[in-house]
Amino acid sequence: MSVVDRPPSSSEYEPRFAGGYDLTRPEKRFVGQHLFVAIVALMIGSLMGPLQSFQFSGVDLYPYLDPIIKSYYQGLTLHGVLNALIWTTFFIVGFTAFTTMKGLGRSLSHPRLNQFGFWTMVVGLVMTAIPILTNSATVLYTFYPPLKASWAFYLGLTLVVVGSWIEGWGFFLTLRAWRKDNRGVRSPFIALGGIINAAMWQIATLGVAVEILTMLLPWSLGLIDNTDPELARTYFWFTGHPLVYFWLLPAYVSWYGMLPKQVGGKLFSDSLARLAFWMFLIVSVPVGFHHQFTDPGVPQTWKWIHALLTYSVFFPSMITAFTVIASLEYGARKNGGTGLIGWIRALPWLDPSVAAQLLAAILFMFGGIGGLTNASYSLNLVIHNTAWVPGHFHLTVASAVTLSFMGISYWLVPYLSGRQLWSPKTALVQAWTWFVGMIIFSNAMHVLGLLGAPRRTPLGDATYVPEEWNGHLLRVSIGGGILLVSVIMYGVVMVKTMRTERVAAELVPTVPIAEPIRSAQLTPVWLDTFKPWLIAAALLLLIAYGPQLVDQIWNMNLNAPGPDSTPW
Amino acid sequence: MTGSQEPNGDQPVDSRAIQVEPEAEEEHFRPNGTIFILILFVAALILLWLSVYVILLSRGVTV
Amino acid sequence: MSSGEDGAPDQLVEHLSMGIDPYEKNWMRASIILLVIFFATVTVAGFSMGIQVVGADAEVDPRIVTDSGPWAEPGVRMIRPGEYEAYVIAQTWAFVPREIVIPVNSEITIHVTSPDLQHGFKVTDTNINMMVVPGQVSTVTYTFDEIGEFPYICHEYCGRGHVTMAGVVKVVSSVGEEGTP
Ligand code: HEM
Ligand SMILES: [Cu+2]
Ligand SMILES: [Cu+2]
Repeated sequence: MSVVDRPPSSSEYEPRFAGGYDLTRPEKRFVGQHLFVAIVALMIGSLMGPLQSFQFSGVDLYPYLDPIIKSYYQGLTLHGVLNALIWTTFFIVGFTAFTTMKGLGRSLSHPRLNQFGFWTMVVGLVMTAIPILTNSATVLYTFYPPLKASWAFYLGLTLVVVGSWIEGWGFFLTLRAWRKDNRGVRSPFIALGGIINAAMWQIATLGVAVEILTMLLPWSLGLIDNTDPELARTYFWFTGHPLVYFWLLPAYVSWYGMLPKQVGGKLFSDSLARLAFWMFLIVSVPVGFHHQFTDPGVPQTWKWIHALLTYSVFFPSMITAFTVIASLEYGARKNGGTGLIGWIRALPWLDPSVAAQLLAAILFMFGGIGGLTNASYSLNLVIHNTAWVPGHFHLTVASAVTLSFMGISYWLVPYLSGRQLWSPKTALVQAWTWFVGMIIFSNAMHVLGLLGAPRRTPLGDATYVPEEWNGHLLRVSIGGGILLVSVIMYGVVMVKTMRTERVAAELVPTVPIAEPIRSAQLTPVWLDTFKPWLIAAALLLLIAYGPQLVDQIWNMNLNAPGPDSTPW
Repeated sequence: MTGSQEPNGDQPVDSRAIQVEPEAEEEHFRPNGTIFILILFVAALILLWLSVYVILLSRGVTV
Repeated sequence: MSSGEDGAPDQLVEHLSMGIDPYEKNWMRASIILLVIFFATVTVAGFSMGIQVVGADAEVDPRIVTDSGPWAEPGVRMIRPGEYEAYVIAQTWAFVPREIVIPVNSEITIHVTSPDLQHGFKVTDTNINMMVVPGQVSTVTYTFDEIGEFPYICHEYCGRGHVTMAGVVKVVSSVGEEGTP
């Protein structure tokens, strides 16, 4: 395999990028299995999106899905769960397995453990999917009680999360084994970044684990009769906000640690890349009340404190903006790019993997602006639960993350399968159609939200829609139509790629791993050590969540049984 | 924007340290284009954020 | 992780320095300043201009909340001229009452709760935006200073009738011509 960028050096200071380590066939297959599940989930989940957007302007295609999908809401549950929970989680865990092995230049230390984690996730997925498809879990991906889904839905989601934990343990153990053999050497960034994300995920998912295990699962099994919906919301959003960073950080791993190489550059600052990740570890979690600004039952002071902490989690994203753009500029100027903005043209825009990720990053800038608005305490009153919110997160999870993952898959799937990408041109058009469709879609959704249109609502059927909304509703549908084309193209490129013949090893794409401009070995040790950051994360969590969480648990009122009959 | 100031002798201490590939251009690379894009970004951020803030102010007090 | 190579003092300096580019340092400073200004602005709107979010007000038992007390007879009541209060039940799939009629420039305190599922309560073109959660009472006080109709819409999924769940605040020049519900 020609994945060797340069021969590994024996020097102690030489960062061991291990560019030379080629995953074994079973390892490639293992990563590929994750991607396979992820992409199938995305294809099914994303088909629902355009149907929703067509519904907004009165084109109701749901009758054609009747045998399976009985309502807009059932479709929306499928859309949210498959896209936001399954596509993301499977891709992320698979990609992290990849960056761990590739970055550290070694196999997983406990491959059986990771396989067990993966199959746990798969079993969980099947258990979740059955009740959704049989219309006995039409509770949307937030499953707020007292909407009561079948117990299998809750148990299935739990297994998906537990499986991802188990895989995470496999990654930590692998890093530990590597450290034993490489004392004094900075851990490679792409491995460390993915593993920090896995650690954050373990802390973050405690909320939803407690919610399901102590309330929803026993309730759906008939062991308890009632729920405490406000406490459930607090548990849910303990996980719900860091969830968005769990999605985002793997894209950041690529933007910091791989994309610069793809554009012929280097990582501008290894130290700051690491600092940003550590900051995400400590401030991603204690911010959940920013999703509950409009909730009764949570005092304003706590909401305000979480608003402040949310502002602090914006800071590492500002660092990311600088470091990533500077890394790109460095590469572009090396390629001969000149001028204040003219250098942008010197980026390899014709490479679909690069184009997809650059376009994803551009959309993310607007996602970031919207996100800061959402987080701004009373500004949330303007947009909470309006169409603005889906408008916002289709720029983040459905673009910054999804389009980046698509871009990654344009080299990763060929690498894993020993093939070449089928029709890079189609892939390029796919990235651009996503970009254009999403701009139209999301702009219209933001405007609708400002005008007061609610989210989670088939607006095509609503009686309260004023004249003024119609043009924007139509734009949502147009954007959705363009996105439909893009999704289909993505599926075609993936399927066709897997159907081409395998090629000689030297024709298979190499793995892009960006070196830092300043040797990673010069990065301070405290930016390569888990302990202080984990302690800081625990302390901050205790201070920022502890009192209110204890209060809500202490005063728990299990008194909401929900309606007598199934409400959907 | 403070970001566009010239560095005043505030050179990174590592200039004489072990370089993986000591190339002169790397030490002199100044990300001017980055600063330019980020200024545009901050301008958009302030503008869009303020426009929602103005909507908030125009929609009345909720004590 | 051990750091056996921290020997000579100049090497120590290496290990403390992060080698941050001066431009990036300034960018980080600017970011912090920007965030501080934004946050101060937000805090002013929330805590001194009175554009507040809902807090922890009252709790009820959703199983019996509609049996007695104010929630047994939801609707609008005048407390004194220019000051009203409304008790609103959000339930699958309607608001009770469906209409709130008040004279212009009067202050109204709205309490909303739900006996069944979670709902939402957002009054179009105003800053009234609350979740309605079984067991909790969401309370807001607002002054309508414009004549017109302001729909309130349920913005949290609550089952198949969710899309139909809405009501309207009618702000009239004086109560009587339209009558209180
Ligand atoms: C193929 C293009 C897509 C289109 C046209 C689309 C369209 C939509 C629309 C119109 C809604 C709003 C429904 C409502 O609030 O009533 C929605 C919700 C949502 N979408 Fe998408 N979407 C697409 C792709 C994605 C992707 C790739 C993801 C995530 C990776 C995603 C995640 C979500 C989530 C989490 C919701 C919220 C569901 C809920 O409120 O329960 N979407 N989508
Ligand atoms: Cu959040
Ligand atoms: Cu509703």
